[in-house]
Order: sequence, then C-alpha cells, then structure tokens
Amino acid sequence: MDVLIATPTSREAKAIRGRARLIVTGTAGAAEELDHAIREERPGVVVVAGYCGALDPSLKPGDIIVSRMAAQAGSPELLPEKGLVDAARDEFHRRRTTFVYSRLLTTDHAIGGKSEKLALWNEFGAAGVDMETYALAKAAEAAGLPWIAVRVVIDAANHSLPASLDGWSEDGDERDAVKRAVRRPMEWRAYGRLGLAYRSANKALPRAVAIVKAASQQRWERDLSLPLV
Amino acid sequence: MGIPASEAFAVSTHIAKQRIKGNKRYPLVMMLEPLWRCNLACVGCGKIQHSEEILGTYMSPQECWDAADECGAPIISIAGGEPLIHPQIGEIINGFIERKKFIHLCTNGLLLERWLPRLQPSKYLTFTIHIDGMRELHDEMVDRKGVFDKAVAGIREAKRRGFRVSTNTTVFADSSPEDMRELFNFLMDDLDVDGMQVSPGYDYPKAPNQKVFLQRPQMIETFRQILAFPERKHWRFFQTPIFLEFLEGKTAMQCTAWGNPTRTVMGWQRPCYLMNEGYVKTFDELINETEWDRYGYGRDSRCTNCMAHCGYEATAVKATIASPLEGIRAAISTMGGKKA
Repeated sequence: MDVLIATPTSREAKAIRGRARLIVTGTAGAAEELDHAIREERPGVVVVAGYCGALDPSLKPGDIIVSRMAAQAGSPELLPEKGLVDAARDEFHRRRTTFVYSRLLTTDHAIGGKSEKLALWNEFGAAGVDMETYALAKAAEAAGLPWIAVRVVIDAANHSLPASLDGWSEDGDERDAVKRAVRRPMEWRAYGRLGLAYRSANKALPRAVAIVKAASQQRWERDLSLPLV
Repeated sequence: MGIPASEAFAVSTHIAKQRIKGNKRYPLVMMLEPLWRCNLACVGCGKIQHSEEILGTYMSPQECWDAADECGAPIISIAGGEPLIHPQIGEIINGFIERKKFIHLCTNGLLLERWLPRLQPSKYLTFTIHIDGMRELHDEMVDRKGVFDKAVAGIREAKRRGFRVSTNTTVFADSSPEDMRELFNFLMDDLDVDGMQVSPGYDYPKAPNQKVFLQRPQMIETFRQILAFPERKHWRFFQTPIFLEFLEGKTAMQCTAWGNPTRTVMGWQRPCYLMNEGYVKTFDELINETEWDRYGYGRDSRCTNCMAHCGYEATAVKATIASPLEGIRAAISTMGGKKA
C-alpha cells in the first residue's frame, strides 16, 4: 500500500525527502493539489506532515504533535481514523519518541503573535496551528481515504515570530527571509531563536514522518491479515 | 499575610532539589483522600459516588504517613469525603506535622468546632474551609440549609484559637461575579481569613447536577469580571498571580497533572485528582508508568472544561520559580493584601 505524504512547502519536503511518496501542496489551493495527487497516485493513506506553530504552552520547538482531530473555525471537526491513530501512537511508544496527541487548528493566515496564539489556545485548545491540515484532511476524506496529520513545532506559544516575516510565505526562499532580517537589527534575536527552532524542527520532522509512515503500513498489513468472514 | 514564607520556601527548595537530581516529574502537593464518606452531598461533587463498602473504608494513619513518605511532596492537601469524619484525623495531622509536612485540611466546616480543641495551631497546619458563596448560594450548592452559618462559626473559632485559616471557593454557573465579590469581601473584611483559593468547578460526570458547570469560555469571562473589581487589590489569594491570570485567560498554561498526585483509600489514583482511570499500588508506578502527555487541554476531551487549581497551580508554581520577576510578584501578592 502506498502512503502519500502531503506537505505544504518544499522546505518541509526537503526535510522529509527520500522517506515516502511526497507531494508539495503549497498553502493556497492545497486541497486541489492533494485531490489531483490522489487521483494520480491512488494511495491507501494520506499523511499530512509539516511544521506548525505551538498554541499549547508546554510545547517547544521540535516537539511532535499527532492529530487527535483537525479543527477550523466555523467548520465541523475532522477525526482521523482511530485504527491509524492507535497504530501511530503504538509506534511512537515503541520507538520511545515523545509526542503529544492533540488538536491541530487550521487558520487562513499565519499566526505569529503571542496574543493571537493565546486567544486561539483559549478558544480551541489546539496544540498546534497551521494553514493547511484541515483542507488536506477534508480532501482525503472526500476521496474516501484514511488520513493522519503529524506536525512538528517550529515556534513556541510564548514566542512571537519576527514582525518582518508577516506575509512571508515564499516557498523555500530563505534568501528573502535573510534580506528581511538584515534590514531589522532589532529583530535579530528573534531571528536567531527562529533559526535554532528551525534546526530542532528539521531534525524531528523526518523522524516523526518515518514513524507515522511505518505505522500506516503496519495498520494496512494488519487489515489484510484479518479473516474475510 | 498570604502563603507563609516557610511554605513557599519549602516548595522552592523542593523544586530546586528535584531539578538537581534531574527528576523530570515530581509532586508538589499530595492530594490525600483518607476516606470518601461525607456528611454533605454537594450538587457539583463527583467524589463520593461509591458503594457503602468503599465509603466505609478509611486509610489508617500509618498508610497516610507512608503515602506522604513515598511521594515526598512538601505539601499535603487532605480532602475526601469530609476528613473531619475520620476518627483518627488528629493523629494523622500530628504525624504529618512531625514529618514537617505542610497540611491543608480541606473541610466543609461542619465538624470543625468539635475538632479544634483537640488540635494545636502550627505553622504546618492550615484549615481550608469550603465556601462557595454567601448563605443562600452556599447552602444551595451544598444542598443543605445552615451549612454556611456552621462553617462561618467554625472559621471564627479557628481564628480565635490562632489557627491559620483559608477558604476554597468553587465557581459554578450559578455564581455571579457579584456573588463572588460579596463573598470575598466578607471573607477578607469580616472573617479576616489568612487567604483564599478559588477555582472553577470541574464537570464531574457523576455529579448530581450537571447544569451547575461552566464551559471554558464562560469560566474565563466570569473570572475576568470577578478579578476586575477594585477590591481585588486587598483580596489575599493562596494562589500564584500566574494562576489567577490563567483563569482570566491572560496566560496560556497546560495542565501538570503529576504535580498533585492523588492517594485514595483505593490506592494512587490515575491520572489526576479529578479523573479516574483506576488505581496503582505505588507512587513509583503512578509517576513512571502513566502516559502523562495523553492528558491536558486539547489532548483529552475530559480536560476541555477543566481549569482547576489541582492541575494548573503546579504549572503556575513552576513558572513562578523559573522567573525571578514572577517570584517577586508572587511574594508581593501574598503579602500585599490590606484592608480597604
């Protein structure tokens, strides 16, 4: 069975590279991109993977979140398949890799400020926030496929992203981020912190994806071994 | 004076020692339930719905002391049930004092006047009297008339005898901010209690009346209103400023369930004081074999409407200790309450 890893940016894909069949969905139009990939690749499971911002204040950069549900303001919550989640949790435990099992919130814009993170934490109780999980999970469900999301924290809840990164989403273009940072010496500390966080997240993401991929395949094999009557 | 300096010092040194030892998880307060029998049946309580056989089971003093030794927490919160029903509660308390444990004896106050002559005031002993409102509201929440008057009489007598007295108020859907304002002014100005604790009620599935519980957004709004009253400046809370900010939705916190491990007549309760997934025999099993990351806001649906101090105060204490500025703020807040 093929596991399709859907990741929003080429930065995340670069971290995961070589570990699975991978598509880069982009942020805008992520669902359409996934839908197209599903029709072409015909996978058995969709794994949504990537970085996220933490809303849960106990999480730090590099911490792994496995989706308990995908949430989005004004939309019904989406639940990953229980068997898939249980298999992933077992595999994380087996490999002694810590993770939290919580909600992932999807928003239509990047959440970088502490106060906005606090408000979302109070309202949704989601461990992490990103801009794609909900749309991708919904697209997988529409295609009748089980899905699971795994996200790695890049910015902690009590840290704000540098203000000059507002609106920055150029896929994979770190040079643009560097240019923005150079122009704002007051934000160099925040950029330094983000750089360190990025390193931690970059190490954790491929590990997390490998675990979820293995769990997905085990789950599939377990299903095949069940008697048909 | 709010939290005694000696108690704050004991907690700080305990945390420092645990960190030096490299312990990732360590208890701050042991919640001890030496019995579940109670002389009230409060509408929001989910603690006492057990068989008669279990309600008739009491922990022996030795079991209580062994649990404290095993756990190592500097503070013991004795709850229940009603601990003053326990015929050996005096012996249990004195044993803890000998061990230099700080005790918060949580009681509804009905039997307080009976026990006071048999106990000695000590810096290690604080009576924490459960008061959910002024007369009408409190008696409604505990489902019996006259309880408020009895508890107030107990508080006055305990104060007269030189005991340290605090109160514990649970905020429910029927508790308006104005009710809480009146209560806190009464507790501070008329009864001159040494400190107060406040927490939103936890939506116990077994509680007799499920309509009394607030949802999380309502909790935050209610506490914002309560803590915005001008008298707030002279209310002395036996709680950290960070925890109160958390109740107002101004600070994000995750639960630290292992900070307040619970020992009951059935054993160590997993995972926390409010949720029950069974019991284990030893503290070591509880702390090392519980999958703690499974629990907390966002992680377990039973935690969605929980903002109780037994889960979050440990998080707040750790944050206070970690920041010198927060430590100073906490010290000022516990000492700064003055009569208006």
